[in-house]
Amino acid sequence: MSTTDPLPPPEPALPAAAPPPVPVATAAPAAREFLLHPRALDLWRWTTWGWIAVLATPGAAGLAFAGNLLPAAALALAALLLALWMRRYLAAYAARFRCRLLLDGLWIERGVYWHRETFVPRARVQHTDVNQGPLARRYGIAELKVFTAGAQVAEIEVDGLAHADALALRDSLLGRGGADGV
Amino acid sequence: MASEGAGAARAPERRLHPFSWLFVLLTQLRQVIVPLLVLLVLGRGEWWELAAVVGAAGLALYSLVYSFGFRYRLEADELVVREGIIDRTERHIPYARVQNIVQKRNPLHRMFGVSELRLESAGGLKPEAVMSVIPLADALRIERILREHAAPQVGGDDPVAVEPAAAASPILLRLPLPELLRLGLVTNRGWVVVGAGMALLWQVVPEERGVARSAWRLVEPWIGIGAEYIPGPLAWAASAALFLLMVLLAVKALSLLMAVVDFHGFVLERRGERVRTEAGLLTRRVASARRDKVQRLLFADGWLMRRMGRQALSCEVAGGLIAANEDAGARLRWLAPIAPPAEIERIADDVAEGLLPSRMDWQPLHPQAWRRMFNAAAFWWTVVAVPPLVAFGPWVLAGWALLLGWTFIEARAAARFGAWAFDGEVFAVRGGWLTRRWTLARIGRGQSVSLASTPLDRRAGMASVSMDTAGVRPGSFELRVDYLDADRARELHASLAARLDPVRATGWEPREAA
Repeated sequence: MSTTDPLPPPEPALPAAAPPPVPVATAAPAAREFLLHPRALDLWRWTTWGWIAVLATPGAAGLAFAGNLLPAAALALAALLLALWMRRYLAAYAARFRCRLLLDGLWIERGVYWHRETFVPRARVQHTDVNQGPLARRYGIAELKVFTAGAQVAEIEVDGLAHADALALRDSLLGRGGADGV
Repeated sequence: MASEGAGAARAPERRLHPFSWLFVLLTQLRQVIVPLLVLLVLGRGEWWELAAVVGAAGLALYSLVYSFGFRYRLEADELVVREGIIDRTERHIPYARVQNIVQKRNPLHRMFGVSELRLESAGGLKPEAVMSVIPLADALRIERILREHAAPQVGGDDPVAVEPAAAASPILLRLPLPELLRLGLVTNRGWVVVGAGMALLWQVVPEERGVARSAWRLVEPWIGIGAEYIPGPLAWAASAALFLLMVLLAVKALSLLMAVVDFHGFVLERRGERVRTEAGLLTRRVASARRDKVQRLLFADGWLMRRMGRQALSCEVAGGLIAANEDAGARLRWLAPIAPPAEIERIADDVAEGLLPSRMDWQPLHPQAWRRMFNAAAFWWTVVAVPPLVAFGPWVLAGWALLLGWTFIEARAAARFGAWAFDGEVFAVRGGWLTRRWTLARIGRGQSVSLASTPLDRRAGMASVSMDTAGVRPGSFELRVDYLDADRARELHASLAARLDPVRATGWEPREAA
């Protein structure tokens, strides 16, 4: 990568395999940190690159065959730059991604440019979905969707979790009843 | 259908009004009336318009049979609806689960002495039951039964004691004609009519004549007048301004008319735990919701409203999604479209105890908030100014400078007025300048809380905090504080999160410092 990074340096990255930073103090024995699946970043990168290739190749090939070599090269270069940039973007996203199950709800923190921390109390979870695409199933990766009765954050998607983690998170979020707050 | 035990006496089954098929048919027809008219009047319908008419006819026939097959009965604590022709379904709707009751009566309904009744629960895409149509007396009876069953939800975080039948008059507000005229003066509902008219024109006017060309023919004479009196290059601008003024006046007149039509005979009343509004000159709409289901309150006053010593108060209630789209005026919304501030306070206190801006301890935004507001607006004005600058030359810069000056004043004022408050129970946000807005919600109504920051926010040491509630109207003033000091924002977010769960345990602890 050149010196002019298009992205801010990835902020406090969690060591990929390190144990979650569980607070040692009195509070929160049940607070649990969920990490991304170790292969999630690879999966995202390859699917993104796949899409870029699928979208850019026909155009570039068509231009090249028609004899417009310069535009074809420019398009290919643009696709390459986009792919490189997406590589860094996804790495930064994974580095900033934090998903914690607290005693009373789900805490998600993520975003590369637009940082966002969202807390949904367990009692406000209406229902949940766990999805797996065909490729994600191969790696045992799943996406958890959490639905609330709210209007602006009616649906929270947590992608890149291990399938078992997604199921555990789901079970624990649905575990307790309470008022739905509407 | 599973029949209940022989001992359980079933309430008698009821049908819809014998003339229901007429209303169902009209509802169906309304959706195809424009293509139908085009087909009949202009006689140049395309084949797919004919197909649409045939399809609609089939649909209408289905609706006729459907409305004859509709049955309902009122059990001790639930409403049972049987409907469907091929798939007979029996739906049990516990009275306590019904959140919104909407009654609609247009002039035809009133002629037949009937009413359309729609019952909604909190979630779901469709209303729980739509009864189109039943005799007015039946509608009122169902409404009364539902009102009597409106016990506060068990396990709610905010159990509101059921008060003894209100001794005082249940009527909280009435709007006489002078108030309606004031309302018309301060609102711009006329634009809705203009928009609808344009949409209709687009569909009806033949292409070869064209709406744009017709509109130009409307504008042209005014430009001619302008050119007569003011020679030179200013003529165009002057006549455009004149035309704009005429349009604004016409829209104002329409707004007056709309305010009277929509809010004629407006009554807000509270009976027990239900809040109920009724209004409308031609189509009479009745909306009611349980008091403890009000999600948040919104206060507003425009510049003109303040001059008249008036404010507006509306609320949001939870409910299905489609109902909000298909019938914007259906759900309980306006508690007081226009009223003096003292009245507004009294109503707000009565409907949602304690949700009052005057009771909050307002906290300021980041001291540099105005800079961000100014920069954002200035950036867009500059972008917008470039094409005219290229086209008309440097005098555009004068207008641009004026706009920036105005933006500066606005940013300073809006940043000064913008504020937030959280007392552990109520979260409130206010903002605006010429039109000022306040919104308040109990923490127990929060569905989630978010702390967000953009790259510009972080450079300036700011962040925004928002709380999501159910039933937020798209485009309404959100419960969100922007341009807050980053540390304050983090604190606020943490304290909101800590109070959000009604059955909160002790496991929550703020995220360690970054």
